[in-house]
Amino acid sequence: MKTLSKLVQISAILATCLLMGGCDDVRVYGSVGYSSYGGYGGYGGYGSSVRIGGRIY
Amino acid sequence: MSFTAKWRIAFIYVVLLSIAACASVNINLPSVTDTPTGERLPGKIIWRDLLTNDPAASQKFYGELFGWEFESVGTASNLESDSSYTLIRHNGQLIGGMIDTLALNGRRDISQWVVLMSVEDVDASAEAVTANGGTIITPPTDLQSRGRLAVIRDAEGALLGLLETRDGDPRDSEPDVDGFLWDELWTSDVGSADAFYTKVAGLTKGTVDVDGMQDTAPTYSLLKAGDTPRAGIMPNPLEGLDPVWVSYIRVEDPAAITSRVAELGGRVIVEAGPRPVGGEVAFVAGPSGAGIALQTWPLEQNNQDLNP
Repeated sequence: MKTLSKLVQISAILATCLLMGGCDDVRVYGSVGYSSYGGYGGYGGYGSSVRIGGRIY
Repeated sequence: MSFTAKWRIAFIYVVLLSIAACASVNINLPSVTDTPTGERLPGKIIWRDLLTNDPAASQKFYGELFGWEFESVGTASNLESDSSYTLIRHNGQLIGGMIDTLALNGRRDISQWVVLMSVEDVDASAEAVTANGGTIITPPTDLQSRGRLAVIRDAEGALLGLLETRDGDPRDSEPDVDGFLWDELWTSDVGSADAFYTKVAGLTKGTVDVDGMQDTAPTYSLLKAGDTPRAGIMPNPLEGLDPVWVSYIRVEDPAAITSRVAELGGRVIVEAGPRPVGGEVAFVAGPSGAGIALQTWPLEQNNQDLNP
């Protein structure tokens, strides 16, 4: 009986972990690992010498 | 009741609560437009989400510079505190969303703008992503009213979403001042990107032959759906910046905007300056570091000089 009880408890813990893992899946941006900008990285000071693009048509 | 029995009941209660909490995380974001057409426009950038680690500062930045309005829908969408979502409106029209990245359980700073490209069949497009060197970040996921979304990195690593809308895409229209004007991929390999988006989103490649651009952007490429240009691709102009999709906001005076960027917590990355083909552009970062470009429109040039 004691062994069965422990098995139930372990199963419940595993089920909870699995379910919470499933919750993570719905966060569509939750697995994005990094930003192209590197957060507060050191881009800047280009003046207007850098040619960027933009709409033409 | 024994202590063990009470503990068991408490434990079961916690498990049930966990299950209930999980079941309530039911993403139901609104459609990308208040007036869906019922028609999809594959290849069109139909939405932009700002991932930010400082939502309050970002709201102030974009609100004061462009007059954007913000509407939290986290609670209404059952996203709860772990995934709060804010709609962005301009002149009353939906133009994008904002997500608090600190609620995404990530310890890294992932602040950036993410464009969502319309696709006809997101599952088929996701298969094409992996077949052509891209990476699936989030497999196709149902967002109810919004449709079905996959988050990916293209073959060079640029992040974007592929969205199969449920009710249709926003119709094409002339962009408002202070609204989104254009989208452009800054990448390490223009030719490879052309091939990737041709296969993933059914776009075709169009080259640009414009007076004034031959020297500065000889490899500028257009992604077209039929005869309609949907986005541009150009070599990354900023050293060290990873490949990234950049959205442009239509503004009347880029210099007037850049003069206020620092006081609102942002940084000017490329100062306002003239374009060889006409008009002016600038490139700035908001308080979270996410970059956004500014451009005047329309071009101050005779369109006969433009030969797509």
